[in-house]
Amino acid sequence: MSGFLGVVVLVVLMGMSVNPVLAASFTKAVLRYDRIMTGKLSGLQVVIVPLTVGTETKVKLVFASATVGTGQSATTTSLPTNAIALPGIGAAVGAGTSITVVCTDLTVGTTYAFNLLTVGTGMGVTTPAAGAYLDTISTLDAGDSTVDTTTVTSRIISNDQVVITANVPPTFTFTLSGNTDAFTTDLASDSVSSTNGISVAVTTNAAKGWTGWIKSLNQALTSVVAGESIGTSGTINGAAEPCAVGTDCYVLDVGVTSGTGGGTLTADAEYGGDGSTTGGTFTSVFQPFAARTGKTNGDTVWLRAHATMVATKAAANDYTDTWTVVGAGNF
Amino acid sequence: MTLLAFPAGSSYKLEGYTFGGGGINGGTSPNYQYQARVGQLDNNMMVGSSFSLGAGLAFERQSPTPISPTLSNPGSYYNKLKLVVNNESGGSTLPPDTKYVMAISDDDFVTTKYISGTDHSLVDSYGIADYQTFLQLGDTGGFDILGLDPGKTYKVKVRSMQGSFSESAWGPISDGVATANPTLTFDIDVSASDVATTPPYVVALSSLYPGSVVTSDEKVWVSVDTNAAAGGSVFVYGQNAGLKSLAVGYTIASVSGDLSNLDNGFGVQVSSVSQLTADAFYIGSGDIVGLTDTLVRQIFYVNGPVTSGRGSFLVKAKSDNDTPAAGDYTEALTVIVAANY
Repeated sequence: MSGFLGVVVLVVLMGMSVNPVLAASFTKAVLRYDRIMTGKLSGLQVVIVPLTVGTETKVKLVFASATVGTGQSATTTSLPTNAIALPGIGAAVGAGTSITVVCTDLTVGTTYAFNLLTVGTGMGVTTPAAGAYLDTISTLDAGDSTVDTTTVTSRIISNDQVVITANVPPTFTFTLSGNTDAFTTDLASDSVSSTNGISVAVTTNAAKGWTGWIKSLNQALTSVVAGESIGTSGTINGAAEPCAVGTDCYVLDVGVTSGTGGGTLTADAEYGGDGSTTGGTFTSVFQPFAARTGKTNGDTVWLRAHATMVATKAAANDYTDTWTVVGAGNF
Repeated sequence: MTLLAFPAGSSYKLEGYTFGGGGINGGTSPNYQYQARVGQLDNNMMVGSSFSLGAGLAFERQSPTPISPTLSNPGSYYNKLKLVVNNESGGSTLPPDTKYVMAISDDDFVTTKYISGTDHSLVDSYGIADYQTFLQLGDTGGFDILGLDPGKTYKVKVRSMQGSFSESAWGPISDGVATANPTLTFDIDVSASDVATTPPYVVALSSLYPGSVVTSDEKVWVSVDTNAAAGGSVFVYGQNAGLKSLAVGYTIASVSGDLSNLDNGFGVQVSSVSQLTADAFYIGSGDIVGLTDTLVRQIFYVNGPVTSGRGSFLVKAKSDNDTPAAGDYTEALTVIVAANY
């Protein structure tokens, strides 16, 4: 009887033994090319979740067709939010069709990630022709036995970029605060009178800024009724000149308040007066009164006339001049 | 004269016995008689190239040999196959306490692996823990064999064990069933409507007048198909982190937020999804956009295999009076895909 039992037991045990688990697929494995366009140098991001208990010492990538650089560099910056850096990440070596990255032991079920850069010579991989390629991600132990391995498909396409084009059209707004500007006091020979002033608001996206010009119809304050004029004074000499009381004087004074933007807003030196008694000479041709060297949003320029006269100037209430004020962007 | 002494006692006498010798009839003693045959044939004597006839005591003590299991790949799986163990033998249903163990091979059993009873992955050899009942093996619904290699044809055979019976011989081999290769297809289109286009892919924004949000007429469409068990993701990132003009050396920076409330900016907004999910970062109404800087960001994803996954996104931009005029504002968005295997 014991002989019979011996036969049975022997049969049952023939196929049984401790069952070592083979190298298995990762619980998760992602191989992301940063460029999937054919013929492009691409960095890589690898995300793995180990399944098999082992003592990993490196991660190995085997590429079906991508050309592997020989000067690899692995980093653990800019990883997915749910992943941690591959522990002990060390030398990355590209050789033949594979890249190996040194690491230390991994924990089953933990999500690890690392990147392979393309910032230096020989880094990354060059993508093959358009198509699907079976690449392999593996972890190896110290004896180069595979712990986990997963074959992934990498898709290369003919063009992975969308080019967005846009035109920012030139803009130029140039607005006068009014079209009449009276002297605040009657003109007199013993004082210099000024107008309230007209403001010019300028906004432009002209990269090189803008310029404003002004010309005078009469180059004088002229009275049809009296048949007399108070002529402009001074010369175009690049400097503001004072109005001397008791003389015929009629000048333009320009002040500026810069908006936001680039460059510098300045009144032309000819017209950069003191706000009360100095200014530049009016002419019948356009003279620049202010300019900016960059784009701007909300420049304000004040144009103000100062005048005085000789004591014998005929009285009248229709002394008038007409300015033409224009501007243009420097695109 | 007795030539051979047989076992005998005071109340019995065994007239003879043998194993494999043909048996003894009429064993008698004064108070006892039996008819018996105890023996077995060599189990290998009745095995040919096309048959195997169980013989001998070992065979008599074996659990019935189950019929061929049913192996299939219903989901174009690349790393698993479905196996239904058929709990039948000789036209009879095996008892419910019968346990089964399965061998699998991708080379007609030149090399053999076994299916773990723990997680249904492959193991080099099997033990008692790898035997499972029909119910544990998914009943008639079967179970998935995990950890298979892609693109290989597998065959499976099953043996049983029940009660005090020893394990059976291996049953007939299943039909070969192939795992698929892992697949991933991806395409980009640029169009106002959902149609296929070819590269180069260009989205031309209309003139960006200060203060107005401009939305692209065209959408960027992506198509994704994959059998990856955990799906995949579509990512987008920019080259300039905004619309950049070389002519004026200025960039309309990419931003996240509501462009209608911002002075200027550039970004994208998911417009549609089908079989995919949009990442919340790029979901928005009105003029709410997500930035596309140089960091690779997920814009669409799917958590399982997907067929005909489709998604689209719009491009939006806004300039202000501080934005210098130029006709060469450009950004190159790189749109890539990766599957989660």
